[in-house]
Amino acid sequence: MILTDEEKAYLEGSHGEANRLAMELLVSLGESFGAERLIPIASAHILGHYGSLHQAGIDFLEKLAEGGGECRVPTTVDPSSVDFERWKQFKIPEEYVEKQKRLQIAVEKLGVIPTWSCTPYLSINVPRYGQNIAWAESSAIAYANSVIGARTNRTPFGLDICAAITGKIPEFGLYIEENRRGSLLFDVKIDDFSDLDYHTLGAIIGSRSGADIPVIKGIPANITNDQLKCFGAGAGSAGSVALYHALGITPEARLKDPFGGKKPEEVFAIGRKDLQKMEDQISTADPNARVHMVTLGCPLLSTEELKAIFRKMQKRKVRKDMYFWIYLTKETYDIGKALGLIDPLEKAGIWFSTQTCATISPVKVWGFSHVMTNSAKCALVVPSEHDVKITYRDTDGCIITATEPG
Amino acid sequence: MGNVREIVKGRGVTPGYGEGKALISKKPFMFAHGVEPRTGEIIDIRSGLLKENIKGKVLIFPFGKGSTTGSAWFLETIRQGNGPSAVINVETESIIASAIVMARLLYGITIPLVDRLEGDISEMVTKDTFIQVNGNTGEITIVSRG
Repeated sequence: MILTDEEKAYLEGSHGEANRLAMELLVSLGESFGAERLIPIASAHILGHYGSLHQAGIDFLEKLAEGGGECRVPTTVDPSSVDFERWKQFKIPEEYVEKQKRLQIAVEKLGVIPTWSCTPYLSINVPRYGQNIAWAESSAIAYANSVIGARTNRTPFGLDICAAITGKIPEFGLYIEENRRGSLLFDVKIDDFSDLDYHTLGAIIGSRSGADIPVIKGIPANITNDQLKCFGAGAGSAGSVALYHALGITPEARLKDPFGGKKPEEVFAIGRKDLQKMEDQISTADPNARVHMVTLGCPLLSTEELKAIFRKMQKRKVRKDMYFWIYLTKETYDIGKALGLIDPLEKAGIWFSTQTCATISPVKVWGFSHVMTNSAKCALVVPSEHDVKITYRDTDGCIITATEPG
Repeated sequence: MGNVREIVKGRGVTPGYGEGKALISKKPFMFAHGVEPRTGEIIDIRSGLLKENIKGKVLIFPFGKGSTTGSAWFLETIRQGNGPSAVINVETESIIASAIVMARLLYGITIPLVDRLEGDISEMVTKDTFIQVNGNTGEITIVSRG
């Protein structure tokens, strides 16, 4: 790799220990992946939840914070493993909370914007088309690359914060134009997409694509940002999709040939029966078994999604012995409160939680054996995390299960 | 009757020397929710290696897969003393490489990582074959009974 004088100075330690460590990681990885150079990034998004980072993650972030590390570009952070305000209500053990708080302290010392949200691209960290960024979190990566046309690889924990504090990333993978071309074509023929359908379609395309780049034909032009968010979450968790092209919708598909002049290596036709088949596959629970907990908000809810739930919850209340947990960004909660949506729903028995989610917080302390959700990502990830059976159902079905008239 | 040593050349991705019994995954390998850091035990039900243990092994798999948190899971496994002695990939990717580099930077633990071997390693060895891995030269030595 060819390094600039400044980059070499970082490596020699002239800019402090944190920058030296960070540059070592960037250069080691850059060499491994054939990067010719480092490139500047416009923003970063890092992981910061104890449940995955463990003590090693605390060690790494604290070492960078103590070594004088400071984010050189706007940097946001993914959800925490605990709701900082409500952890007692959710019965998170105190030692676990203490570990997450250490991460919170380190992350704030490093100058990260404490968003604790998986949807930075919708509000506080909005990339531009063509910008190089260094983001972690598969659903955020999918959105930033595909819907916006910014550029990032699936940045692993460690590389994410090192890129943030140096403002650099090795130039390999999806930072390079030729690597952004699609190789698979999905010809989708579905009338009348529901919200759930977008999650399911994401799961189908993710599982067939693996780490390849799918091009998708047949998604309606009126798809909303929230639906694109859910689609990408499904694709990023069922497979490793970091970038997709949706004909007529995503910018790289609109501005150029997403196949780069080549023919697709494989073509898949997707119809309603494929959606049904995947829905059935995602659910692992006996459909007659009692549901203990219903959860919505993976990815974290936007204001529009909260309003839709409010409308569906008119004259309903949470059933006895049922838990109905809904996860939001802090911004959505605050806006919801101002709009008068939160109080009636809390009065109806809903538990809201911000800056965390069911997928990554240790809900296993509750011992639920059967959880229902309207999110493909949540349905796919929660069982491995918490040893539960899942029923995957649309929002209406979730609300009917969790609540009763009253 | 002595040992037969076969040397196979590859690319050294991370430095160091390690040796141990081979543990082979023909499928891409996942650390996030895939290996229990406290024991080194494989917990991914879809891995085909459930309940095998990676500690001290020469871990062989085509490439890493799964969540971007995988590097943290792998790093924690190494921190707990349950890491492999070496890793051999077909083509390494950043989840695996980041964890190994961080282990060296943070804990001074070096695990050699080698990829791009001449030939398909999963066809050349079986489970528990003794392998020596040199991350500096990119060479591995397969030690078997002659």
